[in-house]
This record gives sequence, C-alpha cells and structure tokens, in this order.
Amino acid sequence: MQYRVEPGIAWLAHELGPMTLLYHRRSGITHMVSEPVPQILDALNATGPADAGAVARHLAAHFDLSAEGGIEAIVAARLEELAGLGLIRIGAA
Amino acid sequence: MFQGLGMDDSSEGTGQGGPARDDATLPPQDVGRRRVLMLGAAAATTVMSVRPALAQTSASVLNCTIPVPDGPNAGKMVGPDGALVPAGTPGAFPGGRSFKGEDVKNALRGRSLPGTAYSESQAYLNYIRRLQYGRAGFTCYASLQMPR
Repeated sequence: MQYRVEPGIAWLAHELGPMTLLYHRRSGITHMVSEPVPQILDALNATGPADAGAVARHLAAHFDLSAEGGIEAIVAARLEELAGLGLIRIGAA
Repeated sequence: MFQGLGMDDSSEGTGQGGPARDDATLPPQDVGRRRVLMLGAAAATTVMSVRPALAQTSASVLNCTIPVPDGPNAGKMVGPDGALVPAGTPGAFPGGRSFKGEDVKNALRGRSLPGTAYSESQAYLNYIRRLQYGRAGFTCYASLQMPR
C-alpha cells in the first residue's frame, strides 16, 4: 500500500523533549508522537509516495535501526496509524 | 527534513566516517554520525491525541492504558526494581497486567495501583518509570506527566 504526506502544510510541529507535538490544522487535534513517528514522516517527505518497504529502506539508509520485530511490519503499522489520524494519505496521487 | 521544524537533522548527513558500530562509544551530539532509531514494536502505540475540548483532553489521557509488561515481553515477571525477569524468579511479581492512565497517575501520587499490595504496586510503577520511547505504554506514561 502506498502512502504520501498531506499536500501543503497540513500540520505544525513542535519538539518537546522526547515528544513531538503535531497540530493537525484541519481537525484541530494535537498529536503527541514519539520516535519513530517524526522520522517516518521525514522519510515519507523525502521519498514521495511510498510503501512501507520503501520507507523502511529510507530509514535504514539514515539510521541504525533498533526494533522489536520486523522493521517493515513496524513501519507499516505506524503508517497505518498515521493514515488513520489523517496525517498522511493512502494512495500515490 | 520534517517540514523545516527543527527536528534533529544530525542523521541526515551521510558522511559516516567509520563503521557504524563504533557509534556507541561516541557522544550523541557528534554531527554526521548515524544515530540509533528506536522503532519499538508494531503493537506499540506512539501517538497520543489531544482533542480541542478540555473534557476530552482529560479523558483521552486518563483512559489510556499501560500494559505491564509490553507485548514482546509477555510472560516475564516484574522485579521489585521494575526490571523484567524470567517467570518463576523469586520475589518478582506476575506480568500480564494493564493499568489505566488515571490509576497510574494516582499511584504516582502515592496510592497503590488497583488490585495490588504496596510492594507489588511499587514494582509495577518502577517498570512504568523505566519505559522508553517506542515501548507500549510510554506515550501514555509521558502524557500523564504533562501539565494541563
């Protein structure tokens, strides 16, 4: 499944120690996220529309990854979660 | 880069000067080094959402749950210091528990967690205090400490 970031500036972000606050403009909801969510959003910004495998490869190219389970499965779970929140969209177009 | 919003950019550089495994011996602020990204587990919740209405804010934070221990460590027991130990360890307390944010918040103020004796409650609380990013329950625990 392909995901992409919302076009334009859909949210504001603010780092708060170990957490990052994402204010989603459209819903008015603030999401407190922790690692690896900001990094996944960064990766998706960099890759353009991508599936979990491509995002995982991008992360692996930039970080040493520590995971409790399959990396692609974890990234897929996070992408699904972010899409559910409206922070990213499903689909390439 | 994350919308230019001041996220840590030190990982963007590709100028790894040496084997990545050497990183552990270097200070984390070393620019250009690959840092370790904690992906956690697929089941770990990494997002806590706060809706605009104040009442919902309180509810969403206090109704979150913290599993003890988290999924990948199911079956382990919790030592008095909060460390996870193998099942059957003397003096440790059984896992497979889950506590609501509100109960944890009250416990952090000195009450015992529901259904636990004092020493058991302290062990579970010590486990919760040791939670790190990416572990199930961390976001819930972190949110309990944010002033409202």
